[in-house]
Amino acid sequence: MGLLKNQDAQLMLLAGFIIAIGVIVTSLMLNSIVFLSIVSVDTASGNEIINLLQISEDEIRSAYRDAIVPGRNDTLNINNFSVRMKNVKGNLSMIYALHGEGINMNWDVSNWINNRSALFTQNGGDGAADWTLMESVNNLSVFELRNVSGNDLEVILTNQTTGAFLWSLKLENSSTVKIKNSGGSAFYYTVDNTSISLLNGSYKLNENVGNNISRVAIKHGNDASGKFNITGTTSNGRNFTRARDYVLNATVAYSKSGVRANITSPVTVPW
Amino acid sequence: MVLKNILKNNDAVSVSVSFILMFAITVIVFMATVLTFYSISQNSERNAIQESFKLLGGGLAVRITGMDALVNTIHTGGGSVNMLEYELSMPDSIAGKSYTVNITDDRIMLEDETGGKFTVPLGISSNATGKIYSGAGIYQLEFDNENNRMVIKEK
Repeated sequence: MGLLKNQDAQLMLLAGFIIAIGVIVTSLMLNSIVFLSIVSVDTASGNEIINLLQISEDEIRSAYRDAIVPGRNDTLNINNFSVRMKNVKGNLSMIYALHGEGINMNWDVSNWINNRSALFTQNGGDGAADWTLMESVNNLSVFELRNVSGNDLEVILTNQTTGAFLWSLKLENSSTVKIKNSGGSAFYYTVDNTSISLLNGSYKLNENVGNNISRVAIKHGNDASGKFNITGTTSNGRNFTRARDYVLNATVAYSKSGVRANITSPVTVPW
Repeated sequence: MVLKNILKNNDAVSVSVSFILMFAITVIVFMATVLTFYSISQNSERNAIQESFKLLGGGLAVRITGMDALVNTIHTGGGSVNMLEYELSMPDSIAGKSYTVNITDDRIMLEDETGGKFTVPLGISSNATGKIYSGAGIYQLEFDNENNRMVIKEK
């Protein structure tokens, strides 16, 4: 009872202490929040840019496959491709804008217009010259090279498990190929470089591969250019197609708060 | 006799001497208290700076390695990075002290004005360079396509 009537400032002292402790606690909490805000960096931007590149790559390949009509003038094919890609670009821009991100997409079809074939490297440009085209191959139904120029290019089939050599084709020049069988014997054939079917009966690819599960590899891909198409089934029974007509360049621009990017990436079509 | 009356004896010291004694004792206690809290606060400040540097350096390292991974992925696929910029926000001071951030190919070194240092190792395949001073608030980490390196600078 006496405490409330006391005029000696005990309540003021007590209030002062409470306020002081409150100020200290608040300061510490604010300090922690400031520290947290320093390190709250956005690490997802890189993934979003890679995703955008992957989307543009898939859409360009899909648009190319849908635009191609066998026997039709390429100008019409390219027009159809461009119309489809403009739609994709518009839709993608809208979808990204809803997430607060801005994008722009452009594509370069000069290689297609000028019928410039890609190198037989992994990415069609200055990528790996020696690379694996397909693994776990059980059966081949189509395997062809078209509009080939250059030399030294080799297509090699090996046993996937043991690595044993099975069969190879080497481009000696634009009109001659060397076929080597699993026994090591070599045979030379004259070819039309506009279309070389590796499944030609004379080359005996299937006979040499037999029941082996094979790996198809390209060697010296930087020494020759052209188109390829390989279709078949894998050891687990799935159908596959790997094909390349041209390399089209896609340029994507991406921006959001704190991030800006402009990246050009080669896209091999149709697969 | 003396011991018996010691508790009731009020003649210990004069008023002036007791004032001097009390004043001296008060000053000594006050100084001891101030010195104790000062050393504690100094240690806390050093720890706070080190922790802040650790967080700041770690955050920067994540950004730099993320950019390095993205650039590598694009280059491996045969693409080219025409422009890549990340905006970074950093405090003007840490524990009231200004600081510098020096980035080299293999480390990020943070140093405050009193000479306190903290180093974060970097494992990147591209080159990285740049030295920034606190106070600007907003900084930019960008990929320099011509020289194939990452650069940090004030924005």
